[in-house]
Amino acid sequence: MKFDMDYIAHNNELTETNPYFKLFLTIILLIVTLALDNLYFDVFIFILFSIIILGVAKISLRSYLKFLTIPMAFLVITCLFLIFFFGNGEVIYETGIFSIVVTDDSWHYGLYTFFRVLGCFPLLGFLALTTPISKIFHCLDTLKVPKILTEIGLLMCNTIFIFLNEIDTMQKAQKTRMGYNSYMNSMRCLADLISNIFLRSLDKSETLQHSLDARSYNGELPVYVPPKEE
Amino acid sequence: MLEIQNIKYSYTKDYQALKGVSLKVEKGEMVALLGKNGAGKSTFFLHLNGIYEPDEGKVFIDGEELKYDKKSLLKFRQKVGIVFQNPDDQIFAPTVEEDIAFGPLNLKLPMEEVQKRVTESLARVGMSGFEKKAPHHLSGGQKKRVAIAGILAMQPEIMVLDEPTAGLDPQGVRALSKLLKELNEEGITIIISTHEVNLVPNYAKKVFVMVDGLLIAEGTPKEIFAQPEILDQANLEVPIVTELFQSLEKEGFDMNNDYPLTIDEAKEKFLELLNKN
Repeated sequence: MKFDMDYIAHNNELTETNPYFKLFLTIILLIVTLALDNLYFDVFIFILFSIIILGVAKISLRSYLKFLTIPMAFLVITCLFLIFFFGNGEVIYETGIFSIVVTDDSWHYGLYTFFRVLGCFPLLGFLALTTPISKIFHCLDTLKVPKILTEIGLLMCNTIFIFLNEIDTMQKAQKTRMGYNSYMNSMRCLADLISNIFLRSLDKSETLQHSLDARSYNGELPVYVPPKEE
Repeated sequence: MLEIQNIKYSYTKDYQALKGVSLKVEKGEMVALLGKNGAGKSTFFLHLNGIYEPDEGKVFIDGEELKYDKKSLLKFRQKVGIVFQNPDDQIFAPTVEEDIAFGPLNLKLPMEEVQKRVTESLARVGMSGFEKKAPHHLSGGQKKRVAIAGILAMQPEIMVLDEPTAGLDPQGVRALSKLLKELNEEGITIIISTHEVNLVPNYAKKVFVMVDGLLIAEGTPKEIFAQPEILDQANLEVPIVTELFQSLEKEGFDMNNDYPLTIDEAKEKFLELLNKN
């Protein structure tokens, strides 16, 4: 199964819930979680929002785990660094290699950072997995966030989806012809992919500009207000 | 209605994509532009509403010369709508309705009018109920319809479609041809570039053939498909029905130089031949 965040955001039990409520709830709880810096509260938020995502929004466990894996990997690496290479104070564990030590200070930092971020994941997931991106932009617009930011975001979002598709297609094309079959080969394939996607992005941006111009684009993306549903 | 006078356009110093193209399309016509890949059809189309400015030559719409300042461009782009070959190049908004509203909103229409147009254009292309969907979750044929709706919402007088049937399944191609024919009957002038020779005689009253940046022929489908040397230059073929009758002629049936192009014409011809024998 492919992990398509946008598809999930459009098709879950909470898609139609008021986006302002979701946006504010997420932002407020994010601030509270970061400010409180309390291990129990972090764990509580993590469990609570995992339950909401899995139980209320009815998002499959596999999708949710996939959503968590990538940031989780970064988190673990960051915290390992924090624990082993930062802080001073009383030494509580000696690794014996290059005099790398864990101090009570760094242990504290690492642990608290880990749980704080851990608590924030499901919060972000709650917003990202249950709210279609267009609704978030719409909210930001009505909240008077500068237009330049929402417009750039919107166009970026559009291009990212096109690129992901392009990358997917190109990667399949490479794999069909024995690409990525060894380490060196993988490196070369990846290099080709990256340089090609760059050239294509230039090409695409020009075509997009043409198609926007063809519909009287004047440098400002107008906001459409859909008719109220009876 | 739409008149092009001798336009030339070069991408680089050494490569001239258009080498002096002139053509005239009357109001309410539905014409086809045939030509092999790389003949300059897409480049030509981008001149029709002033996205490209020709190095030489002029474009007239309703007898008015196309100027390249902001105000006139706005006016002309409302009159001439271009549907791009790849819907992904055209559809950029996160939902279908927002994308269709893009054109009308740029024309600074009041919101109620825009909402009305969005609903109408979606209904017109048979995509009602898809308002809130994300475009990248639609199939190729559906995206094409949304792209057409986005242009329809601007209520253009002339609609230009760059290979609208490319990549569609056979029924999709048929449905799209039918839609375009209906739009034409409602009064929109339509210009299509295509390779689908089998369908061209069904809708086009007039056909232009482009080869290497030049128009080498124009006429009714009958006239064009009767000139093998032109078809050959443009990498084209006669419709499959016509091919059948050409080979029947070799078997000794007299065709009087009148080869049917469509299924309906073929049926008539067959009945005529059967009755004669």
